[in-house]
Amino acid sequence: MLVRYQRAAGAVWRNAHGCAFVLPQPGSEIVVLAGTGHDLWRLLAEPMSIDQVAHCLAETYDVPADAVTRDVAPILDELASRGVLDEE
Amino acid sequence: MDVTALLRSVAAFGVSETSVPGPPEPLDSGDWDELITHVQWHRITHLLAEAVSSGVFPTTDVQFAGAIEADIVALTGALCLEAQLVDVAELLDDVGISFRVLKGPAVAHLDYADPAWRHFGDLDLLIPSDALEEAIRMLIGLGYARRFPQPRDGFDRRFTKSVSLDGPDGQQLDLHRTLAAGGFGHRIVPSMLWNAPSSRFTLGGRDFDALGAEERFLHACYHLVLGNAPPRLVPQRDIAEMLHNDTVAGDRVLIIASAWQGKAILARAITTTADNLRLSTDHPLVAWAREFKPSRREQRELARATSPRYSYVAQAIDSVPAIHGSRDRLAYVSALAFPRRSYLRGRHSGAGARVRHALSGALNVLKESRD
Repeated sequence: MLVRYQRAAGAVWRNAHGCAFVLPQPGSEIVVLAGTGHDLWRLLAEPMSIDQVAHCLAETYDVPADAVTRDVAPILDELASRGVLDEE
Repeated sequence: MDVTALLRSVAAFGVSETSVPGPPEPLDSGDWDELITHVQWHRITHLLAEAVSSGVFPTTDVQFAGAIEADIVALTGALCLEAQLVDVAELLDDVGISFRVLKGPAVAHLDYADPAWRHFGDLDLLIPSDALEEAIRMLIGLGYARRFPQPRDGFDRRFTKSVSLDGPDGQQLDLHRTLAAGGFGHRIVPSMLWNAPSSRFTLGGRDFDALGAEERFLHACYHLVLGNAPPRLVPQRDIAEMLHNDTVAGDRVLIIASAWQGKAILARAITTTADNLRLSTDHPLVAWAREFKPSRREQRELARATSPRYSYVAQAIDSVPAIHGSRDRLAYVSALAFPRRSYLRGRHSGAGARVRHALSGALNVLKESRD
């Protein structure tokens, strides 16, 4: 089944100083997303698959989509495990 | 260093149409430390961070890092409060208590282009008078604690401005019956706050209702004039944002202010903001405020209510004539003159102050009754 990722519905967050500051839920730690992480946060305002994310980032940074997929997959998993992203 | 001028420059950053310069060169470390302390108190750390990042406010590298760090600390606090707001909202929903979000989170999400520009240090919710006691009971059951007991049963529901609660993790939550204390506060009509259309914003995956744009604007004005002495700059920035965005219908603001007998508050808040932040907006409310002449009674009450020496007792005395009906006035006076023992701890516990308060209040009740 195709997994899609999106910003966690219950998260509160701010964009500031080139980063996203995300509090996934009360009492959890604030996650700071900079660089590509911040790009991911902006992209995932809407649900996207890994391939869609990779395609967007590949266009932005002018690199092959396959390479981006390999790099971004573990980051998405990590952010989902920390409650920053929802999976569907 | 003219710290007041610098603070106003920071508070005006990005909203003043006239250029408000920072210092010509970086401040020395002592002046900088003093400035940062004031900036934090005024809750304008993000405005300073933006000003130093843009270069209009020159800093050393260490000062630049300090400004960003102070902003991130404040931003983190605001996020924790928003998470708490989501939690509290679910609890209130569960027991069917409606509420409106006031001040910080509501203004940040509704009146600023980017909520990161508006920090806040506590949560404020407007609760219907008849549900206030139930809301307090529920939150106390969940580990919240009242800062002060009410003087007598029913006082919160009938007379209080707000009840401050400390959360289990030290966060402050204020449950409001109305928007301000004292005579000006008692003339606010709470039902108007509930009957007006609300504004809505989304946070943490759910929708929140806030006051409508005009009521929110008036609340910022009341908060600026009556809230802190000296007044904080953040409500001035709120007022500037609302005027600048032109989201406030001036004629409706004046109708509401008139119903609340609060035109003097409104005019004072707008002229203070326009002068301090050097606003050059052509919003009709600014022109109205500059022309407004308060009555002698309004001038006297405003002078008392904005004095740094405006005591809790004086505030209570000003409230008496503003309370509708002799029975309610007497109930208010007797609750404050003869409160529960627990209420007196840490308050105006001297017998003299209490007797003065009771007598003055009673005299006002009699005077108003005769009138």
